[in-house]
Amino acid sequence: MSTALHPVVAERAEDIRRLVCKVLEVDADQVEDTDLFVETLGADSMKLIELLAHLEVEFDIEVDEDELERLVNIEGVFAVLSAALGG
Amino acid sequence: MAEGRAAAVISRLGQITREMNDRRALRERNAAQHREAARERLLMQGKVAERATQHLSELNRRQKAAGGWATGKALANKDNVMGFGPEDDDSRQKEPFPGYPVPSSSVPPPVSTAPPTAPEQPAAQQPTQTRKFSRSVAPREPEPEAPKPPPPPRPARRRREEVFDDEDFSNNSWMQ
Repeated sequence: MSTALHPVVAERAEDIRRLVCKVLEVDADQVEDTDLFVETLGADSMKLIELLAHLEVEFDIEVDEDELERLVNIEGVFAVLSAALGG
Repeated sequence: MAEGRAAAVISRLGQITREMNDRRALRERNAAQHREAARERLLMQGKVAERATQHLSELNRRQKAAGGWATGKALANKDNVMGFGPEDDDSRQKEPFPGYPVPSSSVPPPVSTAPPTAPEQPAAQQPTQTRKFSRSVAPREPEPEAPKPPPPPRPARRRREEVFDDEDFSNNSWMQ
């Protein structure tokens, strides 16, 4: 990923992975950071919105709906969170 | 002997009571923890549901603003969707005749008050006077004209159906 991770994101990377896997209802051990949510993990748009809402509540941030296009994998989640946190 | 057995029983009962109290306290503490965790999860789910509803409403609003299309291009150009360029200017739309000067007064154009002209009547036929002349001065009556010869017979029309060809345009009469 070209975007630098925010320190909070880097620190809580494992929590974020766990949260993503819980929302998408997949096994955390079998998910790579580059696995695509829709194509690989079988998520739908409702799951992505739910994931976005979970991230907003967990980190107490607000993310625009346009960022849904970047929520394609865990690396994208890191990038969106880093941008929202100002990293 | 009996006192010793009674003391042992009392001690055993006290031990059991303490153990039961400890178990009850542990159970109550676990229940309180679970209740607190469930309450936090419920609050979290409520916040998540609220955020998700807000996102869905916003996405729905944007989709409607884009004319019902949820494609990326439609959402990206949402400011120009259903626009007609300079014709969207409200000031121009308010003018009854944009581009033409507006008269200063609102007097309606004069209406012609002349009575409508009656349709021309055909000239009344003048009664012909019949004058009588003597035979010597009587004007000569014009001789009746000889009947015109009948016009020569026109050549018979060609039957268009015979020469019309859908395939050969050069043969068509409208191409000649």
